[in-house]
Amino acid sequence: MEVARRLLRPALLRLASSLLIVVAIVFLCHGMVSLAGGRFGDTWERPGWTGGATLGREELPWYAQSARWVGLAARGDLGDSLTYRRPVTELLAAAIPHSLALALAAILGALALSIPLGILSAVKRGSYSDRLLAAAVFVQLSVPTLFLALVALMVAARTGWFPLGGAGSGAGGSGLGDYLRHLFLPTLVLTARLTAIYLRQVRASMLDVLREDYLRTALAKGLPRMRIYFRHAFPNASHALITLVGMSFATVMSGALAVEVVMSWPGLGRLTAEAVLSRDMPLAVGGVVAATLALLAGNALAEAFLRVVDPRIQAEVR
Amino acid sequence: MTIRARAPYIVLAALYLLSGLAGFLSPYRYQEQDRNHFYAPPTKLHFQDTAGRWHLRPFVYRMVLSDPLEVRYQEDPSVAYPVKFFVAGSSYRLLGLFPMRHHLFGVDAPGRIFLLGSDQLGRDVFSRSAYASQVSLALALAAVLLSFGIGLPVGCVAGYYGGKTDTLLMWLADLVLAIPGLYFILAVRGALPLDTPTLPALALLILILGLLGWAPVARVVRASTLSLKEREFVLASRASGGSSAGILIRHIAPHLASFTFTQAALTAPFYVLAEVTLSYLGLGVSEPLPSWGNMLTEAHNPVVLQRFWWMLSPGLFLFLTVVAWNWVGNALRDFFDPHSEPL
Repeated sequence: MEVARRLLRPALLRLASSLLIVVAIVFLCHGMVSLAGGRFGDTWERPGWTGGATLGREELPWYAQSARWVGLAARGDLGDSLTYRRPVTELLAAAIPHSLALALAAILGALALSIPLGILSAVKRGSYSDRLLAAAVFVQLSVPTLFLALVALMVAARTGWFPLGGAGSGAGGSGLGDYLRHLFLPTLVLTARLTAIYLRQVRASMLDVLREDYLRTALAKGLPRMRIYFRHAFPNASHALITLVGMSFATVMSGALAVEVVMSWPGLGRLTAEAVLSRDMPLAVGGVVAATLALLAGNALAEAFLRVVDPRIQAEVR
Repeated sequence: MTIRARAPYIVLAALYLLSGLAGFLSPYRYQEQDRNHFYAPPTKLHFQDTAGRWHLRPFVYRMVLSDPLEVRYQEDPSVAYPVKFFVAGSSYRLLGLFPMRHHLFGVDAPGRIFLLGSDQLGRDVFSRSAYASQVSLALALAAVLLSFGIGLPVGCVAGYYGGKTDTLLMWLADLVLAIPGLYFILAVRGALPLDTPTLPALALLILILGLLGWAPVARVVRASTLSLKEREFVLASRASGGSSAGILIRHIAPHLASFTFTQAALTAPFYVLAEVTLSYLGLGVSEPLPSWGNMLTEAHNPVVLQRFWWMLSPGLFLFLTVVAWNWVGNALRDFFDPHSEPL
């Protein structure tokens, strides 16, 4: 019962408001399209193409189109892609695991790097290593992901150490090893950016925590330093990081869009970008909605995780 | 203020000035082609001639395509073309207004000076990058102004009046925050015909960026306003009969200046990057107009990446711009809040 009150109710509220947001975004998409001068139906007009039966080609006003889209989506029908001539849901289901793998690998890599480095930076505040890390963070945050991806691709092209994009060589190796080999470079590019963002947060939170009295006590008691920093200080400094990781799903998704396009990674970003370029509006709208859901899910997960980790956080009901 | 504290602002201002003067600073027009010099490497500046004499004024040699299949160039040392300043060349409009023919530097034809090499049509990468800065920098400024122009009043009103207004406005902000920006822009841009002229497309881009960017601003401004309105000076001015609007503008808004300026500088790079990403995808600035984004598209090719590394140089301009904005943002934060952690 206690668990239900603490976890379930806010989760349900969040779900309801998320659904509302998704519906609003569908309307916004259609509305902006009509505002921008294009009619949503226009892109359906293609010679020799008689599909798209699920979404009408008739000239409905944009709000009616959106209402129809929402109604169909509720039944799990996002229409058919114009280029692939397959259901949008199928294409999304194929792309999302790739995006998820990329995002998770990048986030895990960034956490593995940023937590020890951030703690080091905070503990040795003002030292050379701290200043060096600060400079590295500043530079890294100023390097556009798109550019970094291109540079990484240049290195790959010159050295031949890494595959030039894609998710599988097809011919030679297949299976997990090959997949991971292709995953490495895009992950590296995203990890670089996330590490900089996380490191800044870990350092700032750790500096706050290190001022607390209980840590002075722990130091005075002569506990091993590593144990103090990792076991006593870091958990209390991790809240902002958890929220940040949840929020960085947004960064990862839009950063990944550039990386996916440059490195031909067959994820959600590349699928959406290609859909837009080939004027495949059902697929494009499906991609936007999927990205929105991913973003909402990321935030919700972070919040739920925080609630589990820290009972001090009260269920805030808005 | 010491010189050191002023440095970031000077650098940023210089960047904007230089981009305004792109026509003067670049030796060629952005659309000028030279089909005999496609993918030419950056021109070497020489100080020592073939006879071994040293010259104060640098000069260049003409590049001759020695291997058309492999695209290799050799210098032809028979004629030296000294680098000249204030040379007359193709005409352009300085700051878009004053017709001019003189360029800061250049060499006499048929010599060519490509500081950062040339692209597949023999266009000067340096000149194109310089022109491209105009679009990126102007767009970032416009989008920042728009998003803060909306976010500030909305946040103030929501925080100050509270109640239903607050609930509604913040629900809107949450809605906007839940939109994955780049995806959304892609979808909307996709609805426009692909051959939409650059200017309307850019205007739409600024509009969308601004309409998406106000939400985080409004959220923070609201939180600050909530605490500010409980302070004594607000109570005092209310007691002395000040109107709500007057209190908001005269007494509360000035306290938000530090956040506004700092955050504006720190978000500007995101708008620059959004434009670059869209142009990269072919949905922003389109050829023949240069943009760092669409110039980088041409570099996205294994052969180009391997052999013609200078095609990546627009990325350096992009990097410099982002560094300048971030530097200004950090400087502003230190200025308003000296106790903040330097990072």
